Amino acid sequence: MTHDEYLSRLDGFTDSPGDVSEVLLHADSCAICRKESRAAERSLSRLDPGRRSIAEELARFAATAAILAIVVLGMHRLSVRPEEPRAPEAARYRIVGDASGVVAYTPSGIVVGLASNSAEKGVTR
Amino acid sequence: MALPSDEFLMTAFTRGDRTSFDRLVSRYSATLDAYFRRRLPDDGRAEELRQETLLAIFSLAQSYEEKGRFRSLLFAIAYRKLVSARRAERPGEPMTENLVAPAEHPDSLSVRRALQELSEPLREALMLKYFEGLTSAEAGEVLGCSADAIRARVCRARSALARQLDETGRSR
Repeated sequence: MTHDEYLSRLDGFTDSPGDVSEVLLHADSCAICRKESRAAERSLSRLDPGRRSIAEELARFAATAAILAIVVLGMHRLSVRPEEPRAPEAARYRIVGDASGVVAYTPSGIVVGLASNSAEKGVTR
Repeated sequence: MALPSDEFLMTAFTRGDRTSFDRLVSRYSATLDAYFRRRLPDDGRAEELRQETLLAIFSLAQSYEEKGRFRSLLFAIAYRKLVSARRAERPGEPMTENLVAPAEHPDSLSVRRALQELSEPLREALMLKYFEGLTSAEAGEVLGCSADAIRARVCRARSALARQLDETGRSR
């Protein structure tokens, strides 16, 4: 039975076993009936806002989960501060020398400064 | 811990445990209220019928035998109360639902009208399944037909509803 044939007989069906099995057989195999069934469910849910279809429940669950994930990730990112650049370790100098220049023994090597020019000039490592 | 079944509570009530009846009332009071309010325009009448239904269950204390599901029994009584109330109000008229229509969205109104256009057996089968959440077997016990007949009625009701809504949509 095609869907059009089914619709043309819709008002004539009864609860007789023959009619019942004919309707159920058609409904099980008809894609339009399945579509109508989903549409009817959506329509009826408008009358009963407290009740939602499975699809609506899933959509609601997914939306809630997405919002929750965004909030949790956001809080996590806020709680983890970006690593600040480390301040260079304070150099411990031992300066040996006189007015003509200095030699500094630092953790990164020996620094020699010549007093005649600027402190940076002639620095060797 | 699992909740005691309706049938267990009803049997306990028949043995004199009044609190079991109270538990059944608290379990089904809101459900019955919604059942009648969906089908009657008058909230006062809905409340009366809810109380009459619970009273009928109470008066079953002496004669109750655990045969079928309690829910089927409850809704069968509620349905009979509804049918008698309608017949008393409009003798001789065919039974039609007067579905409650509070201020609502136009789409809901069209659904309500389409539902109202359905024949009573189709509409009641659809509403029992959809709104009251009864199984086909339970709805069959309430309406006095087989579970398959309920399934077929629901299929027909959905198709008729879709057709009605389609016509309403095209005429807009």
